[in-house]
Amino acid sequence: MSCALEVHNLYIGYDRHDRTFRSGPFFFSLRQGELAMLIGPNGVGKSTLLRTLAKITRPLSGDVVINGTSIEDIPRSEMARYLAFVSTETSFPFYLSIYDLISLGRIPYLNWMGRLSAADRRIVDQAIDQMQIGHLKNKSLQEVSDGERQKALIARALAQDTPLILLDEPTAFLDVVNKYNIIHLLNDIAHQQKKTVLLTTHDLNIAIAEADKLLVMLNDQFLMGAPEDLQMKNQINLLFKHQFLFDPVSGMIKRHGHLQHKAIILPQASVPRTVVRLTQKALERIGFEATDADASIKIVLYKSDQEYCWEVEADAKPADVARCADIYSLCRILNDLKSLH
Amino acid sequence: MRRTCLKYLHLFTGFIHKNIRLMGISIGKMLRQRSFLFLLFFLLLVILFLIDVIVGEAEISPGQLFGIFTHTSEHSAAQLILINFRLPKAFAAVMAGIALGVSGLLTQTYFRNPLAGPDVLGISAGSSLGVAIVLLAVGQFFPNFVFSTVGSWTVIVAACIGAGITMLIITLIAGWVRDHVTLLVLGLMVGAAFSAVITVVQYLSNESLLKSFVVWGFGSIRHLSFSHLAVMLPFILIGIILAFFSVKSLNALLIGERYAQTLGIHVGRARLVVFISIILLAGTVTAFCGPIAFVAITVPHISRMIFRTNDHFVLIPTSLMIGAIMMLLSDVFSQVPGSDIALPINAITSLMGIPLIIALLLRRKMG
Repeated sequence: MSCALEVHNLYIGYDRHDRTFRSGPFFFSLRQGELAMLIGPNGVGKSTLLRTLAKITRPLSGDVVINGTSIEDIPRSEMARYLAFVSTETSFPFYLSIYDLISLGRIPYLNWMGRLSAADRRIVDQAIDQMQIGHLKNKSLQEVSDGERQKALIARALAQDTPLILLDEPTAFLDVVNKYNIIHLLNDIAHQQKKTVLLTTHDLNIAIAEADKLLVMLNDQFLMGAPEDLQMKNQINLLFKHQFLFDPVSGMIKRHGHLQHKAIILPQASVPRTVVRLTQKALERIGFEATDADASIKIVLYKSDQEYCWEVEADAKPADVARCADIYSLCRILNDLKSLH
Repeated sequence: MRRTCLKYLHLFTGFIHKNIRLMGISIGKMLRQRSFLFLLFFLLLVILFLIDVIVGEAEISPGQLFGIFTHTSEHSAAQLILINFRLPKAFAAVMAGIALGVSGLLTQTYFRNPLAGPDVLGISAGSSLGVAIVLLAVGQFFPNFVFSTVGSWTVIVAACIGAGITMLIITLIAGWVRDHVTLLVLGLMVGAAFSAVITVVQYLSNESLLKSFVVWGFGSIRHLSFSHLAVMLPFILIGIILAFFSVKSLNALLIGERYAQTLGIHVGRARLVVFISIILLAGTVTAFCGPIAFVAITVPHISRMIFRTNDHFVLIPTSLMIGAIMMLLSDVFSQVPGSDIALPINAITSLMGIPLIIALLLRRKMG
């Protein structure tokens, strides 16, 4: 299968009066029908890279190739039929209705008068259906919520009917439901309609869970692969400048040298694994490492009368056995023990 | 405001829909149809034009108006007034209204600022300065120069250059400050600075020229003859044609330069065309009619409200129509009944436009 987008030896950057920026070289390619996500720290140049790919900013050097042609050689009007872009712009001073906004996506196909044909209207309606915003058609951009506005902007890009869609932080400022909603819709668009979707995000959990290809952009290197490949090589940790540790199994981010105490959890057979895991997670948060070896603090976990019960036994004072009915109280007791040691 | 207006429009149309039926066609439905509304406004424009021609110091009956088309051999006094005074004045109102309406619309889209206008951003003041320099500085040495045809052309060119320089300054400022209100305040300052320079130029000029300049500064369409209109026409025509050819780019620019670029628009080129169109339209009106306030900024809002769209393919023709209607209406109102006093048209347009702009501002503030 051919590559939808290829980047060769690309240097990006800009030189403005207040600051200059330069980054590269980049080498990567995106295939048709995949959802790729670009992740990296603030100010590393993710947006600049996206803008360079969209031919908004000129590259310093190197080449961006779409369908075998360098974007340098693709006229702007034709470029608009290959690639749609959703920016982080949130200010729309004019009272555009959602329908009018989405129909602006048809501009690359219209003559100088800009009239929509019946076929154009059908494509606009399809884009509205895909993003499930039919009920918002006649509302203005100012009247809808952030999540709805983002969906409308994505629908505009869909109406542009391009094989490639780039999105700059489409999930920023959205609540969890809207975030996943949008990512799932983009996932469907990539897989079902065989489009290539590239987006930037700061949400590591979403990137690891949903990306077909993860691009990690750092100040000095550029890594890519399936999220699982990067996890296997422990490369996700590079994102944290080695200040934190990414646990590939739990998908959680942990602190270095945080686990200074030890405790052993002794669950009864009737206690499900989930409860044991959650207890373990709570212990790690307050600085206890759950060991298999003998430790000075023992936590016996059992079930009585359909309720879970945590019993803390500390070596220092064998007489002291505290019984807790929930993890919150368990943590309070363990914190007190920490100060005793 | 728009929603309230729409609500009342709906209530109104609903009422008509229920109560009146004209040969089986619902008027309410027609009112919601764009082409019908367009026709309605065109009719209003024609009627206002006729009223503007008839109303004035010397009574002219509608019969006399049609008389000039039938009895061409003999001209009565009334007919002479019609041909030499009333008709050029009405045509001037229409042309100025067209140019102001469209230049306001283009300015708002160009700066992506719904409260922008050539007057608010100091562009009109820039062309006034151009005119002042020609009128007062050159006129000092060649007193009759500005009243000749060559003089008219010079005045237009000076006004357009003044408008162009101001547009350049404001465009540069708009690149630095993203905040809408700050841009407007800075525009007002630029305008005030130009007005201050004009005052200095006035101070240095002689009395008779000063008087003609002050009269011009009130905003007047009464002194224009057909020969002036003939000079105005090509400039306005070119401005309007450029605007029409920019429909697609203007629509794309509504959502910002970056989006416009990815929609295949050559933003630099498109903005240059709009830029030229604005300075031609705003410059020409200022050159011949003086600074006329609040038409350019209000007209696009009225057309957006009535035609319920932001599509420039609809907004350009409707803005030029509503601009002409507003100018004709102002001219009719400026005529004090039963006397030869005509109020400055600038005052009337301001009194008509300001309430609407205040309403818009308040709605924005209250969210």
